[in-house]
Amino acid sequence: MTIQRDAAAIQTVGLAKEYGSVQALRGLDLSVPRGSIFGFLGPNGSGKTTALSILAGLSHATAGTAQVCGLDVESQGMAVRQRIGFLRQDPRFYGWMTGRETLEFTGRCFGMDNAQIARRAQELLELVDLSGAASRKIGGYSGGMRQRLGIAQALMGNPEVLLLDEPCSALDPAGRFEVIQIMQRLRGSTTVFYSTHILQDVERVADEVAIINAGACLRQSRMDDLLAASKTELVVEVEGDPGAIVSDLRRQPYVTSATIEPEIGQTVRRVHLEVRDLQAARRSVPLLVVAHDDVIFVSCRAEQPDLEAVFLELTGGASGDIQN
Amino acid sequence: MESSIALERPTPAAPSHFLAGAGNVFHKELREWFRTRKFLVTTALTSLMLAALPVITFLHEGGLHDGRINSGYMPSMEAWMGLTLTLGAYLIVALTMGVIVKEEDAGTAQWLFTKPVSRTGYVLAKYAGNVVAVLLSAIIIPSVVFVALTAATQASGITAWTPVIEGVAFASLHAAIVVAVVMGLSAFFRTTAPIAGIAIGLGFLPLFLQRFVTAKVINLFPVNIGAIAGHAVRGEALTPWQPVICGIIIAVVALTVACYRIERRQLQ
Repeated sequence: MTIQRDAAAIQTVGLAKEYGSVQALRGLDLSVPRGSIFGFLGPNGSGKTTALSILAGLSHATAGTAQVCGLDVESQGMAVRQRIGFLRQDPRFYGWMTGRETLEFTGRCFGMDNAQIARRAQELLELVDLSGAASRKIGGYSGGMRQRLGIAQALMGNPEVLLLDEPCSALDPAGRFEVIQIMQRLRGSTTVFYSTHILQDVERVADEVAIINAGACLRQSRMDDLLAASKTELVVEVEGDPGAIVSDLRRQPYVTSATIEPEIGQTVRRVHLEVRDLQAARRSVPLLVVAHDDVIFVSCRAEQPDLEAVFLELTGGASGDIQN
Repeated sequence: MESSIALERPTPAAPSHFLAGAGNVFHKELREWFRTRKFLVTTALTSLMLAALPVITFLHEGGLHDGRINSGYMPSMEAWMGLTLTLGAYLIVALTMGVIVKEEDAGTAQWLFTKPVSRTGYVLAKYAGNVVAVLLSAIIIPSVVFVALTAATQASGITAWTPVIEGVAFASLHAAIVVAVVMGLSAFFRTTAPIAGIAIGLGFLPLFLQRFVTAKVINLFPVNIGAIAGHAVRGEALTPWQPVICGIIIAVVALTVACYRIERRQLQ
């Protein structure tokens, strides 16, 4: 079997999927670098779960190709599944098995020997804090416990690529924090490709993100680049009527737009500036404001947009399911 | 462009043949039967219905003489075999109609299919596991109970063992065919109702068709294995053989179709 060493951990080209008349994916192009933590974002129904299902070998693409670790998911599905760990959004296991038995069963699927299975299962149970419940039947597990067991079983085969569909959706803040920590520990050794609605977590942990909507990738970028390339805003606070200042500011070459925040009774008024050159704006705007005698300059600060703002801008506000 | 190299990370040597993971799934199926109450409840129920009832009926009809039954040996044997073939088949349909669809409904099949487990291996392992379990719980153990009760109550004891063993063998073959048909139907439906309805309906089909087609055609239906089993317990010639051959062919076709369709089934 040949494996492309320089290949991305995950590569999709023109990936499409139709369910009858519904187009779940419309030519999805993705390239996920090896060893990275990759956030896969999109509103509900944007095709995230469909893409993950194709990558995990659960469903077949209508058109396009998908490779994991340089292996084609269609023609080399078994080899792909030997190299991935997958956690679905609402993980389900055999209710009559205990947590430990589930991990042992998973280990046997990967052809591990009994000693390896026992050692790895114990390590993972401790990692996800389920050692105390390892001998209990899964039927009695809470949603959060099932989710943590899901992460453990996904890691059981020592995967090169970890596919996680909403891994934190059923977890409380402490559980979410633990999952983020586990992901951070895997950085560099395992590629983590995860879809989520919790943008705060993505911002904290992801090296790179892709934002999809209506089955197509709107933007794929390193997290830093994505935020840096987004429109930076300067907020100027003054006491008095800022009307004259805004007219002046609009004439400046580094200003794209200037808007006055509606008055809500305070004496301090805010002017929002979208700027082309942040440094030039930061140097010049305070001087320009101070030159006006009819207002008192209060402050001037840059506001970097967060991932939520970028997400909303790209998806046109399709964010009913987004948490921050 | 494409360079062939070994992976930097050692991955477990999971098998990649077309039956990959089948042994693990087979073991899981058996554990599911024996670790839950399913096996115990099924065996108790079938032993009561298929074994104890014929004995009790003829005990009631024949009465006891010196603590033994002096008549009704052969009718009792025929009733046992008839119940095992007909009622047993319905029980087997009820027990196995959910083996595929309920796993998909519960999401455990989706979980399993993201592991290095071949779907063909999964279908065949589930078939093998369920055949072993239903043969034990619905055919073999109730037959042992029946034979033990008959030997204990009939004045003559068991008159000959070969017919009993032949009868159980044909009932087992019939059960294995029924499970295969249910597995084949499972590949076409996502709920249990049509699977059960069609599987039971196929059992009645010869009754409807016998007015329109010849006996030779009717003999092709595996349900007529019951006739051979009846001949067996009466110590008569084991004929006709066509239902056996057709039944084996149908089972192979049903399992092939199940493997083919489940290999291509789209899941989320």
